[in-house]
Order: sequence, then C-alpha cells, then structure tokens
Amino acid sequence: MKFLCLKCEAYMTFQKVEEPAQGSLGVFFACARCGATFCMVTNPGETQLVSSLGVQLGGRTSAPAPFEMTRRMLDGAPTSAPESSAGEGLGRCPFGSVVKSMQAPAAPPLDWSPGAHARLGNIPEMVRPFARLQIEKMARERGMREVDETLLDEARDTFMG
Amino acid sequence: MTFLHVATGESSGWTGRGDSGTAVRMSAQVPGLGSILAGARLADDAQVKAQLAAQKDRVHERMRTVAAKIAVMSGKGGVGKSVTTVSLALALMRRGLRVGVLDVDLNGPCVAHMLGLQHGAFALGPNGAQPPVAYGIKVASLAFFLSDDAPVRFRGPRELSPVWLGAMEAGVVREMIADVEWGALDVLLCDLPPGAAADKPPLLLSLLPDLAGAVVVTTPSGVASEVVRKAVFYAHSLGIRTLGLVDNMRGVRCSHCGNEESLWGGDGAALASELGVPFLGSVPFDRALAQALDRGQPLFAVGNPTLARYDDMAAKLVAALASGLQARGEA
Repeated sequence: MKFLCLKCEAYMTFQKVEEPAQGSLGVFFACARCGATFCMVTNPGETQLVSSLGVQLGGRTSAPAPFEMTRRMLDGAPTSAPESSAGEGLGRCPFGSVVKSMQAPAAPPLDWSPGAHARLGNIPEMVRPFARLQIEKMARERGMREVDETLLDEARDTFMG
Repeated sequence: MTFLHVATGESSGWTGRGDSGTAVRMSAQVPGLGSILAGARLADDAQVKAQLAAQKDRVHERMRTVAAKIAVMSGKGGVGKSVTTVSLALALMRRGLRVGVLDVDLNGPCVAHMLGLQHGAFALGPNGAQPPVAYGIKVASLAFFLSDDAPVRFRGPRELSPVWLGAMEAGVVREMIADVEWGALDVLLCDLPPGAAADKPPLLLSLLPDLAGAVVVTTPSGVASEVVRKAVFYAHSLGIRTLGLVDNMRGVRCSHCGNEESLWGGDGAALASELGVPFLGSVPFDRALAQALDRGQPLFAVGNPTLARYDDMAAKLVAALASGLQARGEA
C-alpha cells in the first residue's frame, strides 16, 4: 500500500510502525517534499491480514526462520525460533509486540463516566476507535478503573498539542 | 482502517487536522490521478514488495529440485482424496520414485496419520525444516504443529477471521513449500481440501506455476459426480491439466471371498470419457486397507488386488507425466 501526496504529486515515504493499542498498528508515512505526515491506523482484522503476509515493514536484517509465520500465528505451535537463528525471533518483527499482546489475556474492560462517554461521542466517528484505545491505554498506565473527564482533558492536551 | 493527518507540511495550504476529511477536500483540487501516478517515482521504502519477491524466490528455489508437482483434488468431500494421495504416493515409491506429500488440507490433516507419522515433527534447522519421512516418503503437514485433539486455530480476532483467514492459510501453505528441505524429488503430491471452487487450487497454482496437473478423485455416486464435474471444469478454467480421474469406492470388496459388489452403480470411466480426461482406474472400498491406514500402517502385501490397482494407476500417472514433459519439450 502506498500513499500519494496530492500537493507534491509524489509518493509518501514509509517512516515507522507503532502499536497504539492492542491489535492495532499505526503505520506512518511522510511526504519528503512538504513534510506532511499521515498515519494509517489498522483495526485488528487488518493487522492480522498484514501479519499473514509474513513480511516486516521497513525490511529485514536476515532471512526469515523456517515456518516463522506459522509458528507465530498457529495456536499451540512452538513459537521459539531455531537455535541457529535465535536473533531473528519475534523480537525483531514489527508485529511481534502486537502478536504478543494478542496472545496475552485481554485486559479487563474500563468504565467510562457518563460525562466522559458523552464527550467521546463528540469525537469524529472515523477516529473515535483510535482515540478510545489511546485514552484507555493512558488510563491503564495510570492504574485507573474508570475514564473520567479529567483524563479526557489530559488526553486532548497530549494528542492534540 | 483510519487515517490520521499527523502533521501539515510547510506552506502546504492544508487546513485542519485529525481526520480524513482534510484529504478528501484536497483531492477535489488536484489533477487526474493517472497523470500524477505517471510522474511519481515509487520507492519500495517499506520493503514489502522486495520481501514478497524474496518469498517467491524461496518457493522457486526450493521447488527447483522437484520434477513433478501434482494436486490431488475433488469438488466433493469424503471421496477419499487423502487415501488416494497416500496410496498413490506409496505406489509411486514402489516404482522407485522419490516422493513427497504436502498436506494442503490444513483443517483436516490426516496424511501424516495414515503414514504412521502421528507423532512426527519438523526438525528445524538453519536451511529449512527437515520433514518427517515414512516409507521413504517425505511429508509436510500442519498436523506436525498440533497436539492430538487440537483444532487448527490461528491467533487473532475470531470475529474478523473471514477477513484474514484465507491470507493466513496461504502463508502457511507457502511456508510448507518454501521452508521444508524437500531435496530432490520425482513427484510431490499435494493433497487438497474439498471444494469445487475453493481458494486452494489457485493458491497452489500461484505458488507452483509449473504444476504438472491434477489427479481428480470421485466416487460413482451421482451427487459426487455432479460436484466433481464442476471441479474438473474449475481446474480447467485455471489452466490446470487433469492428469487423470480416480473412481474411488467403486464397490466394496468382501474380506471373505474377495468378491466386489457395487455401491452406487455409477461409472467413473464414463464420467472421465464425458469430461474428456484420462481415466486412471477404479478402486473398491477395501476394509483391510482402510483399517491399515487408520492404524498408520499401510499395507504392503504382495499380490493384494487393491494395491495392484494403485500400482496400475501409478504407472498411468507416470506415463501421463512423461507425455506432458514431452509435450513441453522437457524430456
């Protein structure tokens, strides 16, 4: 998948991959000419689809280990890499942490205060799932059980600058 | 999928941030996409294209030493594809050929069991995975990754599995071809899952463009013939040559007197003739053979009439392969 900067009429370049939330990937692209930056945020199904290609975004430093994808994705399969290629295990895969989080037990759901829930509804629908994931991630990092409006204010300041 | 406008370029004239609406408004102000794409230079900076090409190269390199790749398929389930695959593999091995079996039936892998490899496993090494070997036949199967009662389950969001499952299975089949140290083989039999218009035949063809063809398995049942007919047409539409039709469970052989009694009354030979494809032969349901494969201990009794049928089919298959090679100027 490529992105086009319509202003500069040039392909945007791949920048980096981040894991904004469980099962989600943020793939950053930037225009080398004007500096505009976009982030494509995938949902869990799309993340899985990319994982199934058996590629590493940004390139590899060594050849894939035998059955790398099968062992990583098949439930019950041994996931350890062969000894001869121990350095090429899950750790170097940009999806590795995502996959690990998929395997981890699901985090308990967070409550949202009525006020915070109402404000979540004001966020544009396209980015609402991403915003929700980011906010809940912040809440969990702080050990909170409920998302309140104070946290939303902080999240707004953090993400919107 | 969501797009976030993270940063606006200098003097870009773009306004707003945070949602895809910005991009939509801009797109109305630019010239046609075709002219832009014609002038834009594409760099594979994420290196996805290069890695996909490398995957294809690994498949090609691994299959370079395999002379004939054959799909064993049928539109219908339960007609005995795996029994046919295993029995043909053993018959080809008895002819002195070097044989491998790839179990593409990912969700119902049973080739390994029939060949006595219930507890087989790949030995992973730096140059690939060493396949378990039974009776001289190399086998690759997803069963080698699964414990006894474990179903095939891929990690990921179940509710979205229709989106990614096909791609995941394609990746597994690719790795079973490219990552296994098959070595030099005369024949690689690929046991396909049921399905007249499933994704596996085109997948196999994309991975093995020099696929020699398909052995199509049917039973003399009218229902099976109807579906198998579709499978043959489907294979033909993909450019897969039908090497021959196997009429399985033609009858049942009495274990006391050896007499064969018809089960359905249909005729595989007539179906093959109607479809214009070679007829490899018919095989009765042989209780001794079925029980032997259930135990993972294939029969080798000299003079066994059912094994003789498979030997005859293997001879016809080799002849069909030879004629195919001659037609392509490779013999």
